[in-house]
Amino acid sequence: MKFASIASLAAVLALTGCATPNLDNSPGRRVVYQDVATTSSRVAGVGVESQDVVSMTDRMVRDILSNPQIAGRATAPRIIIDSEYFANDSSSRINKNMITDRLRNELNRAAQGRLVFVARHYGDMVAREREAKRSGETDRGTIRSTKARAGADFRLGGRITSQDANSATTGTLSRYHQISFELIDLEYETIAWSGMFEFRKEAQDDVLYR
Amino acid sequence: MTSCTAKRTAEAGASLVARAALALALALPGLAQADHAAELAKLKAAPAKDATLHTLQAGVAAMAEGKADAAAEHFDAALASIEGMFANTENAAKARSLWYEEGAKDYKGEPYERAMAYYYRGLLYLAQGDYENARASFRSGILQDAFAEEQQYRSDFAALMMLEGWSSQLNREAGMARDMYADVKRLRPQWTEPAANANLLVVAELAGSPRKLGDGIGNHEIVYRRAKRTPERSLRVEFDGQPQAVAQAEDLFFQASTRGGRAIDSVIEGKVVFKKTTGEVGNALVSLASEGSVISAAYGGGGGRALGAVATVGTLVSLVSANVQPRADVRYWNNLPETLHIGAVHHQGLPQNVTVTLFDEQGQPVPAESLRIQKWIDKKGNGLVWIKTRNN
Repeated sequence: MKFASIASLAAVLALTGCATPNLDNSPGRRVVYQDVATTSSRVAGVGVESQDVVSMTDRMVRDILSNPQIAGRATAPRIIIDSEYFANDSSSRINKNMITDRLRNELNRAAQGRLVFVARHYGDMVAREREAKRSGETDRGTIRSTKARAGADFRLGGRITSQDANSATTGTLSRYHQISFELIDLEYETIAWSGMFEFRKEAQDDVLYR
Repeated sequence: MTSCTAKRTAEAGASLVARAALALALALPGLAQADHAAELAKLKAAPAKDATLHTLQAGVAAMAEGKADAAAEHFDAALASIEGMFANTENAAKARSLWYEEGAKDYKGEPYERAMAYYYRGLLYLAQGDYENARASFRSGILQDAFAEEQQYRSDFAALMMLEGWSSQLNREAGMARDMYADVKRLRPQWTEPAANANLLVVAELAGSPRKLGDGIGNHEIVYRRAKRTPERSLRVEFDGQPQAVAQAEDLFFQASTRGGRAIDSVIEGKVVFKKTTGEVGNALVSLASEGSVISAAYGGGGGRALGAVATVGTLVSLVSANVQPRADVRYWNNLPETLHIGAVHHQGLPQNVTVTLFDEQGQPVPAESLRIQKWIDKKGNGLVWIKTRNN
């Protein structure tokens, strides 16, 4: 009995005295591909994330292609889709090119010639090559030569806005995002098409961080 | 037990070396300047739970050396951690438990530290000419400041509001800039908003970081103190010999110390009560057994086994008490400034020579031997002059 008491005491001493409380000895995790269209179970915030970019651009592609004023013309209209007039007025830091690049790529792939995309964001590159061809620095290439570069019929405009709400007592943060997309008639200055994507995310941090 | 002893001996040795290094660093101020390489080394050696803290410190050190891209990467990494909502991590569960101190949690900083992470990222966006993301950063920083306990101290981070307004002004959104400047004036009535043609922002960071110290039983409370031996309180800035208007916009120590109580303080308070109660119960049981054995001996013995059991239980309860860790998390971002000073002027390009003179509380000049000045200009001709008097 006495021996058992001493042994148990020694065991408790060993467990409490030699514990290494701050050692994280958990194994690492191998790299795994995650679905970009779903929310991560490990890391998530209230800002714009991959699943939001995928969802919003997919919806805008479907919407634009179903609009006869844009995608149903006898002659395919020329469109500029870049981030030049796509403003971020939200609390979320974001690379806007992620949205506009995906929108343009998916539209270009799905439109199958019904829309023509003007690469205004590569303007400097094209200008330099045209100059080199015309100055004789390079030959004229094999496709064709045109007097001028393509003028566009429509251009993307839009805005990302957000509204934040928080509770100091519960540590809850809520952010509502509203993302508007518009195609502007570049001759007549009218809005030929509009689309809207909105979502609200709410999260509560651990009590340790409140 | 042997390995345990060996480890503790090694730890004691390491502790002595660290203390000697610290003493040397304090004796020679030049050595106390943590450069980017040193901060990167600390980051590499740091446990995962402290990674964000060292990433933030590395970000400031990189910025002080003019490495804007590296600094931006550091702050992006740190903000990814800060912005991630840690609903239920293993380290968080540990930090809530009785057996681990609060410092076991992954570091995300107090609200003033999180706000400053957004501040630095915003400045770097301004340096790159990305005014929209700069504005988003400053806005997020203001939001972090909204977690103060007392209403009057919520969202009172005037410097971030000025910078948000400045970002809107550069982005040619005069209405939004005007609205934000009006908010600043409510907090700083003496402040003069930037002229419409201003294109160069001057941001000066003076003195050292607010210090977090442990106080109370088992250091379970956090108290804030101003940095030691940092006399600079104001400055004069000259561009090529011409004085520029730069005014104090923020007192970071004020921001740190007016945050009020935290939700975790109640958890820690519970740990303190548990530690105290179990300690008292353990001591009482041991005393009872001890006194009981004396009385028992006086009356001819008997009851020895029972008294032994009481003593064992008392010892175990005392051990439990001794292992409760109520210590609050006093890790802090050590290369933050104490005050922020901001001005905006019109200037063609960047100034060739930026001269800075520092003054103490009485207006007497003080040395500025560890001054860092960085200048950036974006594609649209808008510039940023960033001045920092200390790196930690």
